[in-house]
Amino acid sequence: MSATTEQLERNFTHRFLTSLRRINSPDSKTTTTHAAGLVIRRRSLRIKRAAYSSMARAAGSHRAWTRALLSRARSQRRRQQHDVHPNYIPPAQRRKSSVKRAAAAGREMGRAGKLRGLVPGGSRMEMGQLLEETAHYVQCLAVQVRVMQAVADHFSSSSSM
Amino acid sequence: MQPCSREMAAGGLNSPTTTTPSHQFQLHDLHQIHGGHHTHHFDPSSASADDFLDQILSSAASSPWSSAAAADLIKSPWADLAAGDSTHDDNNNGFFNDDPAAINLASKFRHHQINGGDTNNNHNNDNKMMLQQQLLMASAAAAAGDGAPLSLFNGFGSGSIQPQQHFHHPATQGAGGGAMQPGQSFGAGGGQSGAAASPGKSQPQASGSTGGAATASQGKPRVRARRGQATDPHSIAERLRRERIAERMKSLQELVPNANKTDKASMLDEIIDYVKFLQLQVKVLSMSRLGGAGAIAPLVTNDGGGGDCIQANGGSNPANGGGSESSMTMTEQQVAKLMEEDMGSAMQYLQGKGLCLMPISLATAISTATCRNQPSSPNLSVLTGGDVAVKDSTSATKP
Repeated sequence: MSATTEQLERNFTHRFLTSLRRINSPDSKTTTTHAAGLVIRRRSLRIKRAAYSSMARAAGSHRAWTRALLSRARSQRRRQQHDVHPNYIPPAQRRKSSVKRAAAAGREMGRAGKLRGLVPGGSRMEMGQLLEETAHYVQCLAVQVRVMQAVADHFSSSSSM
Repeated sequence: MQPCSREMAAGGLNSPTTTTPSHQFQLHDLHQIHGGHHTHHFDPSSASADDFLDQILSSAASSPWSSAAAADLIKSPWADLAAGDSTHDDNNNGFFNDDPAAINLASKFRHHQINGGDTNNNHNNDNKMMLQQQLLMASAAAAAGDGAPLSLFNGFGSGSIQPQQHFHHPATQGAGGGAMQPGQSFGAGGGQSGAAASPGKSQPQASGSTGGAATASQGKPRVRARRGQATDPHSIAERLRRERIAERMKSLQELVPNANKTDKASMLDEIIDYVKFLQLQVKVLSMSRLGGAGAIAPLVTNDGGGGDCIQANGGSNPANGGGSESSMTMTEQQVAKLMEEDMGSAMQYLQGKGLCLMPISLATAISTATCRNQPSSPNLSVLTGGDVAVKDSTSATKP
């Protein structure tokens, strides 16, 4: 494992554990009354978002996909804080940018379009940059999965009955 | 995204028998081409694209072994897990209800997980098995039996042979077209473009220009671009862009497992599948992250007065070991209550506690099996009530 990967792993672990602690500790958001299934599902969504955000921050903003991912997370958070119902999407935003970008990515020949849809910010890049960003994204995803697996193992083993 | 993977799944599942004969036929075809044109076409192509052809032929030769080996790898943990740990159908709804393509991804990359990837070696086997069990739970429910994931993988393996064959044809045709000047132009052009290491796509174009040179030079002596060199700035820029893309694809090949495909299209497919697989793993792992040392996880329980209230539970997890029976009874009652309203929320509640639901016959089978292996199994706690048994999923994964 190269030095940069180790540094990335350490950085991501630190940020991820910090955000996990913040999610786990009781705050005003978690004490609302909801059904059991919804609480668990919402918590898993928060963990997933926290994982991606902390990975994007750990990877640094000199990569296009990290910037795109963080801006998407920021707009999502803003939307959630403003709207009452989280499934509500403002009709103006839905009509204009996201549909056009999705259509543009879909119009692109099959596989490249799919890859653009998967990699954050991929619809704006052209092929060479897309492949480069995909390589870095895959590297970071692998680190993310490894660390999350280790954390899950640690928690499950320490709390096993 | 969805239609493509459904096609692949349909292709793999509907025709397990037909893919194998066609797979062998294509292999035979490739070998024929290799043998028939050996003396004539290997010389020019060896200089410029020998790694390309060698890769095709070596991958064609080794693919039955690789797919068989991978099928074995998939089959053995499958057999282990199917013996004792397959869970009830309803339990899978939480994970893969909306995405059957996820099952294909999981079965495709599972052997990569089994081998530990690159650096997973310091994890325990049972922890790896837990993640695999989570990924496999949906496969256990959705797959028809042992044969289905194998046929899926064979579908993947044989599906990759086809584009290589199509690729091989233009190469042989292009080389055949320029046959009139075999030695010098091919050798020189091959030496020049060999350094560039461009993929097979540039071959038909370059050999097309050389074919034109072959016919034109017979009429009048005109300086024409040699193979691999173009005077047109557009094509130079185009070639630079292609080489850049090929270089990136090569670096991606090292990151992605199963990257022995030489075709750009199937390589892209592999990359896309791998990215989807990693994102799916993140999703699954985020669902399993519960509690935490000393952290408090909110749970819902029903007081006598009706309505819902929040009960803090996670901090007392170590203490639960002593009072396991009472907490199990409470859990059981809570699950029974949730099951009346909505099965999904009951499943999620159980999953949040790290438990799973299974038929009682299976539970007794597992408990007798584990009791035979380990006379004292402190992690095995089975609470039976009615038709089903609630079992600790972490103990279920221990071999």
